[in-house]
Amino acid sequence: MNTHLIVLLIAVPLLAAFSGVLVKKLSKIFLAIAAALNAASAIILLMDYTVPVIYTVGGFKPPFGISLVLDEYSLLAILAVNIIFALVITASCKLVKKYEVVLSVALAALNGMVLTGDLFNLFVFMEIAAITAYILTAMNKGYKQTFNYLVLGTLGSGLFLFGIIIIYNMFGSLNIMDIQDKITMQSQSPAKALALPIVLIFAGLSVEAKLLPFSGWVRGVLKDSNSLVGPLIVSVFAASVLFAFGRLISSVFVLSDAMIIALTVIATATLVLAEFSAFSKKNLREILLFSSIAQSGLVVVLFLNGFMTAAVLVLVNNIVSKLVLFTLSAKIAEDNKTDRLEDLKGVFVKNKMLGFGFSAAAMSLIGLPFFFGFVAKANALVALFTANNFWLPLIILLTAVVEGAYVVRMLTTLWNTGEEGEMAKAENAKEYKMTNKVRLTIILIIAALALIAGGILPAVHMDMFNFDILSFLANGIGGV
Amino acid sequence: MDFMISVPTVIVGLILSSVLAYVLTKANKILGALVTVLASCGALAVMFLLRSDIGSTQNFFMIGFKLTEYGWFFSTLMILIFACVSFFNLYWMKKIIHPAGYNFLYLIALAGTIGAFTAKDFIGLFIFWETIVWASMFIIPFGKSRKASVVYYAFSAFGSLSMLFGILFLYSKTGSFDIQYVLQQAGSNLTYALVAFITIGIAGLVKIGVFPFHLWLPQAHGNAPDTFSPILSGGLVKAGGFAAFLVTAVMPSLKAFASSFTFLGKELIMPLPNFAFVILGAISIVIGTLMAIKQEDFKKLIAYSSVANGGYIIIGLAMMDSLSVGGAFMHMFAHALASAAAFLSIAAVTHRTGTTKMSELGGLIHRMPLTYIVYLIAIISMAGIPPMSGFISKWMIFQSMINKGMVFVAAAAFFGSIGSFLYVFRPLSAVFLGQLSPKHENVKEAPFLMQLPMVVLSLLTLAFGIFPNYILHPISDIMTSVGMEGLQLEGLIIRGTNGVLNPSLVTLIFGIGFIIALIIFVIHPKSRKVDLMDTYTASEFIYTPELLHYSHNFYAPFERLYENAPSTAKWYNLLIKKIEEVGAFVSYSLFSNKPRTAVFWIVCATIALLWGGSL
Repeated sequence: MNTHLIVLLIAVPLLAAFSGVLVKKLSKIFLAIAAALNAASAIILLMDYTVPVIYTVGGFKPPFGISLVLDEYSLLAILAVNIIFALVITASCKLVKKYEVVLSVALAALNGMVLTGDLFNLFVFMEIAAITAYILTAMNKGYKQTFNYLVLGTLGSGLFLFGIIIIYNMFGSLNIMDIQDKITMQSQSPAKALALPIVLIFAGLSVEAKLLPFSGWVRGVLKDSNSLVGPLIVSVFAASVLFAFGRLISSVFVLSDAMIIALTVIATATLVLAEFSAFSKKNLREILLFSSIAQSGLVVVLFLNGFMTAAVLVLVNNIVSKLVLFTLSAKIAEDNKTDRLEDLKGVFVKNKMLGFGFSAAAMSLIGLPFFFGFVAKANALVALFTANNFWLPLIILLTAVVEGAYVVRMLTTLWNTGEEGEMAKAENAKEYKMTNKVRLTIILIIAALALIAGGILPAVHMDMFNFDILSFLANGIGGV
Repeated sequence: MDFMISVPTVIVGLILSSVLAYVLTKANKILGALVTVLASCGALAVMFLLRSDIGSTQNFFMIGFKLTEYGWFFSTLMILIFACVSFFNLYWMKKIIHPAGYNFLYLIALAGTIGAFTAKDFIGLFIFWETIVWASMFIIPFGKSRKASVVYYAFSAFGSLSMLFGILFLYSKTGSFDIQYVLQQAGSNLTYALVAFITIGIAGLVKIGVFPFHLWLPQAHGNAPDTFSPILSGGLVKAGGFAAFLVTAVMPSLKAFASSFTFLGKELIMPLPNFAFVILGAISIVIGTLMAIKQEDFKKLIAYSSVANGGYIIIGLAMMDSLSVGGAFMHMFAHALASAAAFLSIAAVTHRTGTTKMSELGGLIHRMPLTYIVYLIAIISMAGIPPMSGFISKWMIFQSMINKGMVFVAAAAFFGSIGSFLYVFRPLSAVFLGQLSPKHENVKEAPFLMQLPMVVLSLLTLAFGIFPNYILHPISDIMTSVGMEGLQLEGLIIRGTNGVLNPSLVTLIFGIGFIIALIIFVIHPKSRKVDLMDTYTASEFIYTPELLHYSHNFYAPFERLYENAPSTAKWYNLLIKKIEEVGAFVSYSLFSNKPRTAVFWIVCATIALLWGGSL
């Protein structure tokens, strides 16, 4: 396997960004090339993957140099980030104009976040990604919201930085594996000593990972976002942050039992309260943004309790289905100047293919059988039950009822016309504007079919509850 | 050919037909609907052929299927209802917003039901169970209400996720998903048995619409497209009986709860969990009956009557003696036929007149006599009067109740039976009897392809009311297959605990009575027919026929007796409101445009965590 591809995932988008600054006219092409190359490299890395690789930039051995880690975990992360990034900018390429350079930098930073094996590098990449996010969200013209995001994001990264400074002070290193080794070498559990930096890192990451109550920026930024920024934040940025979060939780976080409970309570409260909030909302994008907050909570709950596989499955299900749901919702809002559910009755009557994609994604999100979401949630629940944990499944299942209710409300309203008490009739369907329909349809159907394939094939191929998504993907793509 | 016919082939065949139906409907709507007719009738035929295959297991990729006695019974009953209703699809294509989607989902729902009843593993059961839910969740909003579908989904999801909790709990304890094995294991451990009984039992209660989970029935059945209400009421709710049967009989609940025969020091006649189900069933009968009496909308009325009938089924299953379980199965069969027939006859009326409001109808016996007879037979069966099959099942359940000395439950059940006369007669008189509205002078009898399934359902109701033993023998086999005692059947006679029933003899006597009444009717002078508009009020002629209809507020004095009773609907509305309020509060207090609010929360949470971490 060509290990240099790993660093190229970061270098190529950066090169595209710098060239884009020099030759403005070609910046769009540079972005397209970078996105395509990155997606292709991710797939090539998947096909060639055999054992974990630690790539040392410039040949400096860790812990001295910068190291990138490609293991099964980060491989899945770069696949998700790069492919979804490519899909988002293809679906909304009209909006890319003037933001090509920012997007290229964002792509580099997002790849860096999930690949890096160094805490300080992680901080740097997170900062770069956050700055690009501030610039992108300014596209929504809600400058006050972006300012809010800027303040909170800066506070979050400040806390994060504070945390890693303490860690450096304790271990004399910022290399994640090095720290991990030093932790295991200690005779007594360092949980108590680590509590302070971990809380700071957790709080800092939670701002970007959208956990309550750290994520005051999310609603303002996303509720009016367009079909480029919205899906980028809820899918691609969320994927990177949560993958990085999971990496830290599994390696650096040595938690006392009390700490696990405290952090789990925060994440569980995020899940429950955000689902309730989503249930109380009437606008498509607002419903979806709260649903993403809730899903982040679920993913972090699973990470904290050590169910990495299940967490990754839930995360992948969420980002792929949110890509479809958010892109289409934002698109409908752009074209029709509203995303109020009440105003969009029967919008799918004349856009059946888009409706199909939306429905498949929505059904995967709530975890119905024959969709990938079912595999993800079933794995999560089985993992929890096998660990003799019965409270979390109870909470997850009860919130799933609330989640199902608002998702079904969206689906039934968008597919059918008519007031309550009236038969739904095709003739009553209003004319809704839908621009760039063909390209959008193709992208969304690809994502929806992936979710359906991911729901059916595991049941056919292998034991669903020892589901190895990577070998599944490698076999699937190899088979094609 | 033998290897061709098996449960997986039926399911795969139905899924393929559903895709075919979708494609053909795009080309020609009637052609697509015809696929649903052919596919469901074909599935019915194959299911009869599979009767000899009971006990066989097949694997289709990762999903295992096992055709059990009860699985066959439920599947066949369900396909029968789907097949009968499918003829109506032909006439409804123009009225449905997404005809292609409807035909597709119709067959997917059918495939899901068969899969759920024949799954070998719990996970297969759950997958197909959820498939039914999502297929019908898309069909219901094609009708009159979008909200109904959300209510339906929320209740169903609560039930099925409760079942999922139970399934995974038992999986973590027994290491298996195999239904038979897991339930046998659960039966020998009180905790496992209790979890299974409650979680899977709740799935059953929700599906069959037993109190306090009954509210989705009037919403979903009342507002679904006219062709889907009979599927819901006649077919899909019976899946609840299946789930309840799994935890009462397949998991030997009497053995599992052998230690819990006492409550507050009192000896009980059945284990406490079973008793709880019986009580819920009895409450459902009373509530279903009272609410049905109140309804102005015909479909909601029958939906509430399904709640009451679900109560009988749950009582029968929970009492767990051979007569009661046999009665519950017979009741599922009888009620499936009767409620499907009742909904179909009203669908036929709607097709011809274009309305479901009782006050706009009346006197249709003169125009649609066959539909009238179908409806009449259906309601006689629902009310449990001989010679219909609904009588047999109620007789069996009553026998068992009296034998156990359950006076109050029996009182509720009798109340339900008598109350059902009140409500089923009202649509009969309002829609079919009385005077014909001038608007409907030219209404014709339902077309032949609608008459056909209605007549089939009525004949089956009648035939198995006169000769119930043809169906009671298979039911008895079901019971022996799960280790219960079979029914005592001799020739045409059913032997109960307190007596013997000879339905054929009852029918004969009933028939003689009918003939005597007929003779009296014929020899006595005929009443003079008066036109509906042949009247005037306070010297004014009235030109709006609805104002002269007498069925409006028919039972007002009776309803006044319980109008202030506590309402479950209010409780659910309150719950929804609270969830919304908490959600709105969170979104208001944590998400503002002012950075200071969020900074405040971040700092607070971090300090709280630090404080907690230092402990």
